[in-house]
Amino acid sequence: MTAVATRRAGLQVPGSTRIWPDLVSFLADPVAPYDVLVEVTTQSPRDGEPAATHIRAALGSGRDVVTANKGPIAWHESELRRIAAGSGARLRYEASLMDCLPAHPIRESIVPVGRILSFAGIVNATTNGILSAMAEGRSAAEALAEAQRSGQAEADPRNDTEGHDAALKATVLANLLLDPPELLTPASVDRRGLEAVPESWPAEAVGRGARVRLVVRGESTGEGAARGVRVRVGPEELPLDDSLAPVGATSMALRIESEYGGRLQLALLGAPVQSTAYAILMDLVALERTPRG
Amino acid sequence: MALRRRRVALAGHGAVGRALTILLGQTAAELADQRAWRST
Repeated sequence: MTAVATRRAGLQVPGSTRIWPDLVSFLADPVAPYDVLVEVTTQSPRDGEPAATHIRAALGSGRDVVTANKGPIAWHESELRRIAAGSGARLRYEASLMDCLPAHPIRESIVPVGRILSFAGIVNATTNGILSAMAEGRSAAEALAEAQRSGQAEADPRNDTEGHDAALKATVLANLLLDPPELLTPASVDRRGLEAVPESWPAEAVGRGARVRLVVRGESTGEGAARGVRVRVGPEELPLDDSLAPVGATSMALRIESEYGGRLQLALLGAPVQSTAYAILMDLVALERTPRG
Repeated sequence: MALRRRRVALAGHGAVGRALTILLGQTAAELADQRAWRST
């Protein structure tokens, strides 16, 4: 590491590492000592700032960017792609989706030919943990308090519980996998969160041999000039023979249906912070292995 | 891999940033080995 950008005072870093307080001017400076920006600041899910500003500055100066922030991608992907195309820089965001459950490789190597027709997934581990606890008989309040004690849920949990986080991920996934005629933003996602889950539903579903999960779905619609993409997020009661139903507690999963390859499901069993860091490393390695176009 | 020669600017040093710093240290030797192998 040659530079660390942080507002925290007194951070201990190796002797050769520089701490840079004026982040945006550093990132935009063509002679600043860095080649690739790893963007993992705290960001607003409403507009992706300040991460989006950091990414613009780095891409604009011709540096590659790897980010774990989904907000800038979900809200500004079209603009960021234009900036990157203008400077020859590259943008990757594997860690913003489902940690190291691979999404980019689906398009790059797993389904290299033909369209992906639809996807369905459990992409928010916090709400999945809450719903799993409610299925075992805990109240919504108890389940949330439990998630907050374990550090899985934030002090203000609404970003997760109202489905905003899942909607951002669904947007990015739809743009990555479904190749929409125009890039989507979260504004076009039909979103419902845990407020749509009656207190007794998860436990009653268990009695019926089912599980309630917060599911994201995206699908291509129409053909030719009428082609479009529909994306939604909301709680669903899944029968146990649905491959997403057994995905419990802190796990995440993504199922895709491709034009020629049939249905495929990937799962991440548990989601420690190391798996987010590993996803960033996956992107750094991918950048090294792929020459600039 | 040439990762060792790439200068990485890390914006944000929360839990993910700290985990990445540790991970890059843990994997640096292996990535360098891969680079040596790929160049032979």
